[in-house]
Amino acid sequence: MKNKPVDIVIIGGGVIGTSIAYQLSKDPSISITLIDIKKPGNASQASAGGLWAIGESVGLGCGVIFFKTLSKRRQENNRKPTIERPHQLPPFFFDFCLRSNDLFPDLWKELKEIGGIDFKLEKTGLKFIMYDNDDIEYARNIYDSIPHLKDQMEWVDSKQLAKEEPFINKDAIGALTFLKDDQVNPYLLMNAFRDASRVQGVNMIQGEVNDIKVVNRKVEAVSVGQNQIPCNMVINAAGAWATDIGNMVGVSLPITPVKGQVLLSEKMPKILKSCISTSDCYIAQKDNGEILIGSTTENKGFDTSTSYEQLRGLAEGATKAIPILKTMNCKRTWAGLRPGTPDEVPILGPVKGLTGYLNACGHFRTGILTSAITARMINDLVHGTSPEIDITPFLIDRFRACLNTI
Amino acid sequence: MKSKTSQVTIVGAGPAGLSAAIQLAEFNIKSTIVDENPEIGGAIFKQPDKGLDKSLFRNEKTYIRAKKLFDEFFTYQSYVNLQLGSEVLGDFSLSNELAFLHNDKVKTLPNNPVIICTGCYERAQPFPGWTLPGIMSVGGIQLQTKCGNVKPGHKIALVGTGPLLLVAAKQLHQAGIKVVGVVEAGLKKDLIKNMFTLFYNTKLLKEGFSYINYMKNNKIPIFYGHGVVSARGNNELEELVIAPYTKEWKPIQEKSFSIQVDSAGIGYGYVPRIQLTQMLKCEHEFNANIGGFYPKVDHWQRTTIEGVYVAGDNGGIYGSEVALHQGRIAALAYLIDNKKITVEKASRLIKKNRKKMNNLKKFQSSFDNFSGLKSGLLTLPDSDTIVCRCEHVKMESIDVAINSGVKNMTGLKIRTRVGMGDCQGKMCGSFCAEYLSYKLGDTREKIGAMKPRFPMSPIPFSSITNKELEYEK
Ligand SMILES: Cc1cc2nc3c(=O)[nH]c(=O)nc-3n(C[C@H](O)[C@H](O)[C@H](O)COP(=O)(O)OP(=O)(O)OC[C@H]3O[C@@H](n4cnc5c(N)ncnc54)[C@H](O)[C@@H]3O)c2cc1C
Ligand SMILES: Cc1cc2nc3c(=O)[nH]c(=O)nc-3n(C[C@H](O)[C@H](O)[C@H](O)COP(=O)(O)OP(=O)(O)OC[C@H]3O[C@@H](n4cnc5c(N)ncnc54)[C@H](O)[C@@H]3O)c2cc1C
Repeated sequence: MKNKPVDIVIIGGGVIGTSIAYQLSKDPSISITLIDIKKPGNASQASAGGLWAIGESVGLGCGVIFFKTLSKRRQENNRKPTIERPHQLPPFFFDFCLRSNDLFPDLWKELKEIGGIDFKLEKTGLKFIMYDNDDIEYARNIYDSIPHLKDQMEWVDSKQLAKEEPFINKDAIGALTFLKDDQVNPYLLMNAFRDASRVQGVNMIQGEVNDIKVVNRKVEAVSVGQNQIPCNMVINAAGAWATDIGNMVGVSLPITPVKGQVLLSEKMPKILKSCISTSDCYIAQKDNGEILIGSTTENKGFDTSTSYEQLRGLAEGATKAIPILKTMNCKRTWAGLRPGTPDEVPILGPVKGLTGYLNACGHFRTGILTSAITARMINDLVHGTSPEIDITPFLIDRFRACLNTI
Repeated sequence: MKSKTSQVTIVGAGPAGLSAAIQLAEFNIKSTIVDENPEIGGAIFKQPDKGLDKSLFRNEKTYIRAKKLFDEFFTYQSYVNLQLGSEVLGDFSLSNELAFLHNDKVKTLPNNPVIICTGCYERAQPFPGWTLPGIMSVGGIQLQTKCGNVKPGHKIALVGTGPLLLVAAKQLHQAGIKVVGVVEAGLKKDLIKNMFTLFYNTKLLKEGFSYINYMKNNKIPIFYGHGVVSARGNNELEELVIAPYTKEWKPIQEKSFSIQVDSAGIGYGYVPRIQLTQMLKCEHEFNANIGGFYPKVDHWQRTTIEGVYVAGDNGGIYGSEVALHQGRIAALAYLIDNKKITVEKASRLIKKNRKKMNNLKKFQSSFDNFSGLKSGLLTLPDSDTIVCRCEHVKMESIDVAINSGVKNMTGLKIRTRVGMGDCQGKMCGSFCAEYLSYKLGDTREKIGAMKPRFPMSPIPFSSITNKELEYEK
């Protein structure tokens, strides 16, 4: 079977791939094909849907457990029980997250108009709940380290907290609220990107990419089974599997799967106004009333099984924060694979010495949030204009060891 | 040599599970049987609370068979750790444990080796009005009658396909309930053929005919080649619309008529209960004639995962007699794999059972079968019919999803939320997959199946924080 050449092939139909497809398809002169096969553990389907721009950048949300694991490991190593400073990401990453967050209200309107899907953008804010002095010190550290964002944070005392969130444990001594850290429904976001892309002419293929043809250091075609799709450019948005795609073009990517386990409650009446983070877990009540509790940070390869000790840890944290949960049902648990990078920063943009290839992977624990800005940056690169955020710190070049192309 | 702790876990205390335990005990092997019900027996021998009550069996023969199995089982009781009232919720593969819920606590057992005998479910069939109170599954209505919730004086119809409709009709009638009619999608000659499978052999066919005669003598009409179209009523069932079915079981609307009832038992087929073998990553195959997907097994009921064996209806709907044989075979496979018996000896031991079992199986596959459902059933829901009751997903949304490019169950789930509710698609999963396959013309293998997750049924959060270790590591 002969296929007519397409301009761009996007590999991976998670939130990153579909977001890119949507942005690129605004230009009708490019023809786009999106190839995806849902592998067990694909991250977008597993995620919490938090737009926790500050929260995640300062190490709350998924990060808090990551931080706990890190500090425990460090503690074990030098046996000094220290309260670690929060695990913060560099300023350019804050900027990346905050700008992406700002794009969501307009994105919501656009996607609803074009594809008809409402991805449930909810103004919730994120509250870090404090139980003791360690928690206060931890929060204080965060607060002091980002003075330029003071207007987006608010200290809440126990009385105020009880008023705002009556179902939170009365033993809590207060909270630090991140006022603009909101949430979406991640499934609907992905569906919304996909439907809008389809409306704008993106061709969708269900299948597994198993080869990429590179001639004279230029990408020429992508193979799905027996089917070869000639193209000018491929975009690697294959999430935790991006390394496999990289290998097909001779680029070695330092992306590894980082497992996160989640518990989900049955549907409940609205009991939470905000998203909640404690030092044990995060808790988000979704648009349909289900309460999602996440998440662990584990290096277990591509394993996507759930495990009792980890689920119990999360359930204990959640029932401590919201005692009424004890009497409610857990209806499902799962594990997803975050595309992790060594420095927790995504890998975006071109690779030196290789024409027709762009990275759009390694979004670790913020891919839902940063899907919007990622797509705009990739769109700029495709059109040869310089992205609104400097691409340099996101390039693969930062990992010298990975520059052994072809 | 007797060992103190049990060496094998058996999930399900139906005919298959019990006979596996017996076979193991005969070789001095201790087992733990986990079953969600408060009593042993499984679907067919479902026991009342206090021992065996003769009146609750559909007839003398079932009673005798049940009694024989129970008596044999109880002679080996010291070999079996019975863990009843305990629903298996899934597995934790990294720690090699099976988790179950007992008295509101999550507990675990080593998951290897395990004989899985989880039986089957009744397949849910959506049609306009099927969520009205008063409409139940046939098994559900039998259970309700047993518990005294369906009182004499009710007017009931049994609608669907297969000999179990008649069995239920007789039971209900004997309980003093007015049975308005039995509506059988198949033709009379098909039903008679299917009688063979239910009643194990030609000698017992007479028993099958006795049901037909019972209906005749008690003026309970059987509408052959007919089926349900819709149900109507204000807040509860008032009438059921019935029509003759074409060969493909599509209702001929012009000839539809309604019957006045306040309850109906609906029974269009059974589905193997494969959630656990799916979670254990066993390979599955598809065969519509035995209910759908079932775990692939070898000659000895070994699945593709080492140490995981299956027996009974969850391995394909063949009925209780086959389940009994398979239970023994699976137990022998464990014994062979653990060097307690040679293959030769085991083969000799099981030769007769195997022969009987193969005859029964051949017998069944020579007919279109018990649950040889036809595609017309897939056209019953209208756009407004709810398909997934947990998430209130309507037929319309499923069609929209298909039109927008959904190609398999994973896609359908993400698009429509079917199967994301409390039951994880145990109810609607089969219908949805059949419908996708029908609409897209793709095989069921390509369409895929719902993937179960821990916990297979909802559990309180407090039970997760309360776990107790069931065994000493
Ligand atoms: C438990 C958990 C909670 C999270 N919570 C949040 C949160 O609250 N907020 C937030 O912003 N982020 C969160 N994240 C992170 C976020 O989910 C990820 O960063 C994001 O989904 C990554 O998207 P992706 O498109 O790169 O990857 P994916 O969603 O994994 O998509 C990649 C796709 O490519 C497909 N693919 C791979 N190889 C091939 C191939 N060869 N051929 C065809 N297709 C292929 C995969 O099967 C997959 O469908 C969470 C992650 C987890 C696991
Ligand atoms: C509602 C219903 C009524 C039936 N009535 C008849 C009838 O009247 N006559 C007839 O010949 N056949 C009947 N059948 C068919 C019958 O199931 C089989 O012929 C026979 O019982 C199969 O035996 P089995 O051991 O394979 O499964 P079953 O007898 O079904 O036993 C399986 C057992 O495993 C338990 N179980 C399953 N999953 C779990 C779990 N996760 N955790 C704990 N326990 C679990 C179940 O509760 C059940 O007790 C009926 C089936 C159903 C579903």
